[in-house]
Amino acid sequence: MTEELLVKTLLAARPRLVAGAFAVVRDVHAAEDVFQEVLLRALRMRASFSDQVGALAWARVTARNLGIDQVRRAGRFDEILSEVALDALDTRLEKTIDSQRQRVEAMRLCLEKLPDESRNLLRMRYDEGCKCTELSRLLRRNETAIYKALSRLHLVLRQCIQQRLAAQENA
Amino acid sequence: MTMNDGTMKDLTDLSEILTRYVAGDCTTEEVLELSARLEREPAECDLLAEILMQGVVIREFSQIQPEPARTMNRLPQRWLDSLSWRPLTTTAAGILFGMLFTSVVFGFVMPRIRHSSLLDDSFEGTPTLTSRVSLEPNVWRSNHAVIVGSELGVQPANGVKMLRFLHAGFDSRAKSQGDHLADAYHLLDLRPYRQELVGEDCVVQVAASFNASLFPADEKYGCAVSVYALDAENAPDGPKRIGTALSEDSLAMARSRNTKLDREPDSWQRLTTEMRLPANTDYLVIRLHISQAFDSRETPTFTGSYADVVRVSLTRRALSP
Repeated sequence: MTEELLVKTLLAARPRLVAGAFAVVRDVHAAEDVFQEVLLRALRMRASFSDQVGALAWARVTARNLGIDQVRRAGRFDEILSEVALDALDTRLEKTIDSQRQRVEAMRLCLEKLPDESRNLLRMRYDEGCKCTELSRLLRRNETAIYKALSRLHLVLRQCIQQRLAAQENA
Repeated sequence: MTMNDGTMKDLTDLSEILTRYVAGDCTTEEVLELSARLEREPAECDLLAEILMQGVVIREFSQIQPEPARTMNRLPQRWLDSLSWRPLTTTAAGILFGMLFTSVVFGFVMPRIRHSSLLDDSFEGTPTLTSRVSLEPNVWRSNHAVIVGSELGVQPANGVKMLRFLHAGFDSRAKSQGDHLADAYHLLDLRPYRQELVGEDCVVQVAASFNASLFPADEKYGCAVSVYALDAENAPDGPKRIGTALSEDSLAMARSRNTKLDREPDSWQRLTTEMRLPANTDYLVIRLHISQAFDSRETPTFTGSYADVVRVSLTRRALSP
């Protein structure tokens, strides 16, 4: 497998791989660090990958294991989902990979449709990495209200994405 | 989607507990309960997968943004107000802005008097990069780069390692020129150099080398090196996004860019920029970036774009009469 193909393969799967690590480390920036480490390790052991499927399977397992190591070092191992639940999640994430580009584009359009205030809340949470306690302080709302707002926004986005994907399929 | 009230409430409750799990805010008991629920009903993992992907994509979209505009919002408002009615002041301020915000300061300075090296990095001792949102002094931060050795016909400009830019974003939109960027940041703490900064004649000089492996003739890539001055209050060391801190809170910035990397892997292209430092500068942020400079149908992967030999120094120069 050429280095260029390996990098392209892993970068194409980046959202799915980062999401898998995110489920373990529960910090999107730490999950990106995990992905970066996976990429570095993959480049070092490029010769052992015969095809893209094998490289991706290795990357998935490595990302999870690196995430678990990180959580264990932080003494928070009992705060992550069971292996069986993580396996079930992996299966679901894997199913999204074929339609990843369409989903990402649909998500972009759905995000653009959100009111500025909602988009800003999501950006602060996931881009700036603000914890809900911080958001509560910054936005002067109680933590429960922040959780409710975020979870509602996730559902709104989910519905919007599903509708866009369905419309694309019908078209 | 049609749902009865009970199903909707279940979904809302599930979304809330998953949102709390993803935030790392569930108790051990709640995590056990959630694990059991997901094991029992694997279909409920769909919503968790969705929330995780949304978080990742929101983060990614927020990172894909135009280069921060040169800012002047830290200047006193009365300065800005005065520019609207005093043409002479406008001209003078224009020169001052030029000195503060651009690299074109050569015409205003005398030969150097003293020189302090702040950074001389060929990535030899950099084991990895971090992609955390906050910047730590003396650590390169990038979501879009790795440290590599010689490859694809490109030899490091110095030593045996160099920084390799990988990509910028992953969405499927057609991109107009310059919409894709890959970048790397480095924070320098200037507080130990307080004595050097006293006075109005302190200039920071930044230089970096860029190169690319052979790429298709119909593609075009640009590169740039930027330097931003920040005070301690606005240093991006908290959860604040780097782009926001730099575009809104920097005291001054300068940039040097090359709009077209050559197609010769043997030759490195050196960019340099300079900036007169505001006296209250506590930190500098160095930013290296590669941009796609052609309309593309899909996201380019910068598999063969490199940076090496980054040097930052302080020089004290007298102002010209």
